[in-house]
Amino acid sequence: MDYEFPKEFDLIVVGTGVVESILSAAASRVGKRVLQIDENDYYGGQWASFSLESIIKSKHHKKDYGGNESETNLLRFGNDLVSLKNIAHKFHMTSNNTLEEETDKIENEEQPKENKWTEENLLKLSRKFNIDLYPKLQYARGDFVELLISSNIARYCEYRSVSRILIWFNNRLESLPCSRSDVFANTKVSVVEKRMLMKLLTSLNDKEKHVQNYENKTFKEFLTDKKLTPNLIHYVLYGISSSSDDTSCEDGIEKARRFLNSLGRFGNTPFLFSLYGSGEIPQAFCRLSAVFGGTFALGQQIQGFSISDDKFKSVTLQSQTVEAEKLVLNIENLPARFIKSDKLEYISRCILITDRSVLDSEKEHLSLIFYPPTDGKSFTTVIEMGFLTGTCPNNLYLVHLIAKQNTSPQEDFQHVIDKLFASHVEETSQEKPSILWSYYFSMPETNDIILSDDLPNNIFVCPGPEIDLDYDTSVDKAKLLFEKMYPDLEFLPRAPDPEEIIIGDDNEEEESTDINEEDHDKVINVEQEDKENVISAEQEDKVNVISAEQEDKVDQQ
Amino acid sequence: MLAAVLTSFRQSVIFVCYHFRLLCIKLVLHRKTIYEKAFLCGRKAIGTLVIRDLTRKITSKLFLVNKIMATNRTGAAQRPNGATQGKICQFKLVLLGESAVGKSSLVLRFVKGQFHEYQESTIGAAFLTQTICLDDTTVKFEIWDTAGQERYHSLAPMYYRGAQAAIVVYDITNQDTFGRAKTWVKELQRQASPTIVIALAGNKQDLANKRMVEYEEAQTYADENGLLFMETSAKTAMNVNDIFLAIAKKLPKNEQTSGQGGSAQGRRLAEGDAGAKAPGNCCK
Amino acid sequence: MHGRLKVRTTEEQKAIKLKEQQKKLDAYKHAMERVLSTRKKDSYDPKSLQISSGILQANPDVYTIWNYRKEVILMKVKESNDDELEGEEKLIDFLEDEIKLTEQCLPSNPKSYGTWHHRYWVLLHHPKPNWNNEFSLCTKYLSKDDRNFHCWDYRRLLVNKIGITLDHELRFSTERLNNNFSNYSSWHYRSTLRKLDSDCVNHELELVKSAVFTDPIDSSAWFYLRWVLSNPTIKKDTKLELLEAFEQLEELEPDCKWVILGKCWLLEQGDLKTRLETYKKLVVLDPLRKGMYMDFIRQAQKEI
Repeated sequence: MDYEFPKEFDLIVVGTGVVESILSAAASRVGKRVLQIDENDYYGGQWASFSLESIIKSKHHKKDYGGNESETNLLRFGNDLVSLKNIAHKFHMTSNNTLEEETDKIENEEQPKENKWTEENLLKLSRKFNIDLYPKLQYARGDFVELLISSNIARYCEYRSVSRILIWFNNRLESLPCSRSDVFANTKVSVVEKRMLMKLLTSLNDKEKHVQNYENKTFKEFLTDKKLTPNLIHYVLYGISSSSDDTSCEDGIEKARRFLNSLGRFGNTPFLFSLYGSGEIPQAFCRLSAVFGGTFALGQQIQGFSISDDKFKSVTLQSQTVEAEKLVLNIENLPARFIKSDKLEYISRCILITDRSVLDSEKEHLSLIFYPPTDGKSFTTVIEMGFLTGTCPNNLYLVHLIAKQNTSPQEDFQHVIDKLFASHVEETSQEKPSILWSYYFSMPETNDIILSDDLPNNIFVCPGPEIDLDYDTSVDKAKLLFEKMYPDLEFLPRAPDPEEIIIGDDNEEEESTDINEEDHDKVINVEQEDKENVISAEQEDKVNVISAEQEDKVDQQ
Repeated sequence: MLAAVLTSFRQSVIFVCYHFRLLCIKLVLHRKTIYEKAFLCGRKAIGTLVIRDLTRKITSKLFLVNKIMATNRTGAAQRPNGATQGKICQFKLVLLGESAVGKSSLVLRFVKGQFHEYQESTIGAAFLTQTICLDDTTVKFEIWDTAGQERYHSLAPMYYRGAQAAIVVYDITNQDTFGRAKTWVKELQRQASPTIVIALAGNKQDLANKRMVEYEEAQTYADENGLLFMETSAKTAMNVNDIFLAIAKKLPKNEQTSGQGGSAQGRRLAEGDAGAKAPGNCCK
Repeated sequence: MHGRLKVRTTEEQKAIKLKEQQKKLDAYKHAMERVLSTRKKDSYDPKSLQISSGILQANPDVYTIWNYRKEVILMKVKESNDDELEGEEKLIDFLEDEIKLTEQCLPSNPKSYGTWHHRYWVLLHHPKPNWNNEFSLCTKYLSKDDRNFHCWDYRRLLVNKIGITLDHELRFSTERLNNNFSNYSSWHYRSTLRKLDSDCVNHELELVKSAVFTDPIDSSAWFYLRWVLSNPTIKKDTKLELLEAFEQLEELEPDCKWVILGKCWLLEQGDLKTRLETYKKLVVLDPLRKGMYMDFIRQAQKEI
């Protein structure tokens, strides 16, 4: 087993979240020697996904190694500011099994008859869950997907389209008409409304024309002036552009365009979701980094790092000190003294396990649900995913709720949960899904944290997940940081397909192939074939003759 | 000719070689030993793989340029009346084992037929592909290499996702690597799909005179755990093709499991994915 | 630890590709010669048959080879008629392989006359054809490309052959339209399904109204509308309602000639003056078809 690291690298990355992993991959890709470490024994940090058991057990805060800072002269990684707060979880059904239920239960992790879920049998299926701390969707024509395709990382993961988008309207869930076929098939709007909506959607591309007179007005005012009916305003404002009443016209149009632009590329909604959860994304970038030579080590007991002459010098792991020119770290690893902002905004989060979909349908959907702001509560985004996304076992659904925090996660989501879900198992009505397990927490918004001026200039800090639904802001941040770190180098050029790579030197004859006399004939036949394989293309004709002869020989046998 | 076919095979080019197909048939009819049939068939079967894509134009009247999107199409082997039969099945195969046991060399030998004594870590190849032709099915392996992440115990769960086969490699001249191999097997049993086909490979058989792990010991362990087992040598190519062939045979080739991912279904993104055709009008 | 990554340049790749193509061309020519040289009236060479299937998979538009195979099939049919015991089974096996071959040829060119025809022809000679399978195949290819008229034709052949429930086909058609209504073929197919009576004509009208309002520039929906309107069972009230709706639409889309044309269809027996005005509008909006509108005007004026 290998615990010793090389003494020196070009870049050390502490943390395995998305932004720092993109940087790690980009650096490896251009030939830098990268060491990426994480004190957790899993990838992703605040972007990770967990099994049911591990999310319950995880404390989500910094571990403490090593001695006093002043003694070791090391700066300890981590701070208390940027960590998850208000964590609370609960199983919503009783765990007492009556004898009847016991005998009803089928063995081998299959769910019991009549959907009687208990804490025990949920936990048994723990490994089938991939619960994201922060689920992300990807715009089909967004920067992130373009990056995946252009850098050829897309081959590492599989994706699924969000198959329907719903919006809360008139006290129920309705399908959001966003594409032409949706509008056509929608039965809730009049034909004239259909025309108005289509007209607006197609014209939203022409930004300059619209914004001229609306610089200081809201998107809502813009839509009202376009004589859209309240129905349509509701759909466009809260659904297509996922804005609120006070979103500026410019922002609203921008968001709507991004949405509409991505329609139809991979499905009839603009969004993709990576199979097995969003935790796959940091892993994919890390793999790209490894493939280009990056070194990876999880579960490291990181003591701290040292600075000299106002520059970052080295990182100390449990027994070893490793030097590097530059340091990249996740904001949650940054020592508190480098953080200027003392007040943080938070994102409220809630994760539920339910037993049926919020809106039943013939096939299983990956649903995105918009719940518009109401009564002082923020705009809430809900993502419901089922078995086919690889994030939960069969016949169960995983529901994620995301909103800007007002008071506390429980309070922020209470109204949505009351409307969409039946809250106690006993109360199951036929229509609303029951909640089997819930998990609440607050996540800090780290995108705009102000860092102190005395942060050494060879230390680069990456934010955690922000409230947007997709990764585009994170990619932009990564590109910015890369530009600062390596100003003249290309950011993630396309990685070659395996077939394009020349391994070794194809023009060489094959090296020593000590054919043992004892080996059977098969090997000799194989050897001859192998030799031919290595002979270069220029010698093709010769080879043609040789293999032709071989074929004839084989035929004659 | 073969070198050119293999080394220039790109994901987006078809090679339909009628000579080779004929040879395939001849071999089938002549009832060669399974090894030769599979091997020769396999090498040439790359030429006969036909991959289809509906969105690229026909470049010449004869040949079509395509991308791999879905799998399971009828493949190379033919029945006497000329209509082809059988399928192409694609499987993800992951390699495991300590650094320096020869994982990359094994793959290189299998995929490119090459061996380099002082091979540095393979740069840039996220995975390699190779095809083996069985009686009525063509099996395509997508072989993932660890890229060095196993060194400090940092293999990502993504590595195991949807893997239908695995080869755990150890070095027969190093007892430690055998011990570690057993841990890897346990890891697979824990993290990967329960139906994964695992093969144990005792590599560096050419250095048998410095052997530290007995054949019987490994064979017993393999039998106890339901693993395939072979001693291999990437250097001399001994058993390299055999082990992949054995795995190919053991893999279930019905419609459900041959594909990517058991339960979850997804798609891969590819360049040129223009998505649905723009709903336009032909005439004004 | 970091090696340099060597990747083939595009020139290298092009050169290699060119060489490969040349080889393939030679192989193809060779194969064609071989097959055609062994073509005989009452016997066939199994090897040639194999080669021919290879040719077809690469290039399904070679009619000669399809015909060659048809000849062989006919020979086989004759054989099976002679062989009382196992003849039928052997024939079925043989024909199943033939069908599989067409299936393999389809993905490479789903619009090949040869392939579709061969498939149908084989099924006609099949002692136990599975027509339902064919429906699924049709549906599959139509979802890939719903403008593939070969597939629509094939579907019509099937419907005629086995007769399938109207409901089923209606649902299929509605599904295709919901997916993408800019499609002449889908609308046309719908119109061939049944004669409209007073019950369903309103439903059809609603459907096509939805389409024309969603996208007035799409001509395929308008043509269907015209067909629906030509149905005698439409009530006058409905027409008036529609006319009002079109007035509203015209406000939203003053430049769209189809809306105005639509009004014309509705006004056909109506107020002459309004009609003349509308025709004149059309002349301005759609100068390409000025001649036709002038003709309408002349006809209308004759009525005065």
